[in-house]
Amino acid sequence: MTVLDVVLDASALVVYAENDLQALPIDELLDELRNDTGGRVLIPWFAVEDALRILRDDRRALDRLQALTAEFGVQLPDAGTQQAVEVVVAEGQVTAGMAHAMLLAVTAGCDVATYSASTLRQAGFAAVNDLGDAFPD
Amino acid sequence: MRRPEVELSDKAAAFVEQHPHLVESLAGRAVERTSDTPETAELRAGVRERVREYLAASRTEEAQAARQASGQAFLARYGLPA
Repeated sequence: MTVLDVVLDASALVVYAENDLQALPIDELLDELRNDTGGRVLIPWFAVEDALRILRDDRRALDRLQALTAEFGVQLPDAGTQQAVEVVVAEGQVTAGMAHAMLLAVTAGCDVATYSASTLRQAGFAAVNDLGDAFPD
Repeated sequence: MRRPEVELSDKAAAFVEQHPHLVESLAGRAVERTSDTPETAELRAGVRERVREYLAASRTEEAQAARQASGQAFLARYGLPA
């Protein structure tokens, strides 16, 4: 079976941390990947920063985010990635977290799991796992 | 309901003492996930099926080729090295 990684952007991290019914898709995706063999869950550092700004002082959500990053680790950007993030932020009009997520996904050859699919597509990124689309019609 | 008496190792007890919010949130998550109503359980099952369909579709050679091509196009759009 082909190994499949996934990158989580800030929207996925925030929804996961807030843990209401909207989080069902990210919950199920993570459970499936946990049961998978070899696939990585890649969490970009700048996406964590974006999520922390959004979650602010929501203690319960911050703890859930902390547990998630402790489980899967965080991908720190090297100098080249930081420069690339700056380019994409400036020209793509996205946050550093979204830029980092897209660049990480290109490097890893995988999709970005997101609740902000339209924003990523507008920035020219097509490898999107639209978590909002996972709810049955 | 009588709570079970669990004796923790020194290390586990220290962790619980140092991270009360984390332990509480993990316990809360376990309660949330096991307290599905029939409606939310049905919704969760539907979402699980859609997620599994996505993962199966993502693993095809066609999907991987498309992903690689779109990645190259993305880098080219921003003048970034492949």
